[in-house]
Amino acid sequence: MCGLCGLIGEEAEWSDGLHSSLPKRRNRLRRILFINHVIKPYRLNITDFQGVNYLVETLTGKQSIANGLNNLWDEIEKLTGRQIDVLDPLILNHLELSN
Amino acid sequence: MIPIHIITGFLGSGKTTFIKKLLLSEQGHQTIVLINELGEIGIDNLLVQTIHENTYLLPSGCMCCTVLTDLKETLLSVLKARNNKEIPFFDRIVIETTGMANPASVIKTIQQDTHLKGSFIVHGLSTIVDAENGILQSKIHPEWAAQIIAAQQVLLSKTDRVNKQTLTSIQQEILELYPDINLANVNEINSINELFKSNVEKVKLTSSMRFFNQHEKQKHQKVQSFVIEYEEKIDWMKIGIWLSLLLKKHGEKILRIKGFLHLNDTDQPILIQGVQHCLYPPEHLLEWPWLDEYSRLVFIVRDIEIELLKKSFLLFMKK
Repeated sequence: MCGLCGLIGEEAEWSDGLHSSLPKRRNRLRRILFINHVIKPYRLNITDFQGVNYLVETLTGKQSIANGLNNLWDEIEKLTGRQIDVLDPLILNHLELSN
Repeated sequence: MIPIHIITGFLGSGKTTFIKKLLLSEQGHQTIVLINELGEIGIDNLLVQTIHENTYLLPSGCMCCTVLTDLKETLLSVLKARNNKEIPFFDRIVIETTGMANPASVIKTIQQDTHLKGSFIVHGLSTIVDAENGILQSKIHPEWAAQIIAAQQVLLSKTDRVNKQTLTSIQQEILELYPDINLANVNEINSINELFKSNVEKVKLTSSMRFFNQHEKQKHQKVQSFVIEYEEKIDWMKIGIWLSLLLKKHGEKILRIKGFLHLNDTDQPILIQGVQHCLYPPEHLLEWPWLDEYSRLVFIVRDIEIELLKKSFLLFMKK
């Protein structure tokens, strides 16, 4: 936990096991950009919150804060009522068109 | 870090007998045994306790749920008791799971829990297979295949009770399901030291190159195996997101993932491995096992559309 702001650190991800040449913050922003691209058909927007959390927003203004990827997928499911599925034709078609 | 070795296997395959044998074979080993049993009253812990006082029964029966609070509490309490010198010192742990348990959830708890991952490390997972009844169990119970595929080594028990033909057919059954597995007889491991001696996974990788043979089987409730080969370098961030989403939704169906990746920022191969919902920490290896240096990922899955999964992987990696 950060002693100054009281924020709990970000949940460690499995992929954190390898060090990247990019700074941590930069990596995080790249990750958020990619997640936003993938989940575009779900009509959501993910932004960084204080460098440790994710802020999930729907087009109707519903919001939620998530810590770590696992929690992020849970919060998205809570807000939209469906689980993100990488095999969902909706996502696959979207990625196919955008590639 | 205290290494933990998990012993799993179908009901009645001889897990407790195996652990008893290991404990009896040598004096002075500093090992603690945790036993997890399905049912109201623990029997196995009583059997082992007569020869080894450092034996504990995990409070609740089934280790199948995703959050294994009992396992966590027991591990933390024995560690605390050891540090306070309330129980004899130990530096290794053996966990016997119930015959019905899904070993992936045990590994996941130890590796991912904030309090456990700093003190404990999974050393390995051995599955005991009953040579006498294995063939029958493989046909009836879907857990059987999951236990074989999650293992780093399979140990055949009761081999003295079967003829050569039955023994060969059970060995073939296991190798067809998982061609790369370390298959041995329980009699080849006779002490705790031998169990913890080596990193079984590493031995296996160097000794066998059959790992990536294209191999498809329709048996075992549609268990299938396939390989994704990718020529271009892979973005670690993207594969992290893809695997995270895939395992979140379909983890139950992905029995095993294993493979080498060629990443953007390094020319050394990265070994990744996973069992159902959980992934082992990625490892850097010094040399490529093949000349072309392409990324190859092997999947063993059940009831999942393979072509769709391959397509999804390619689309995620391309963007």
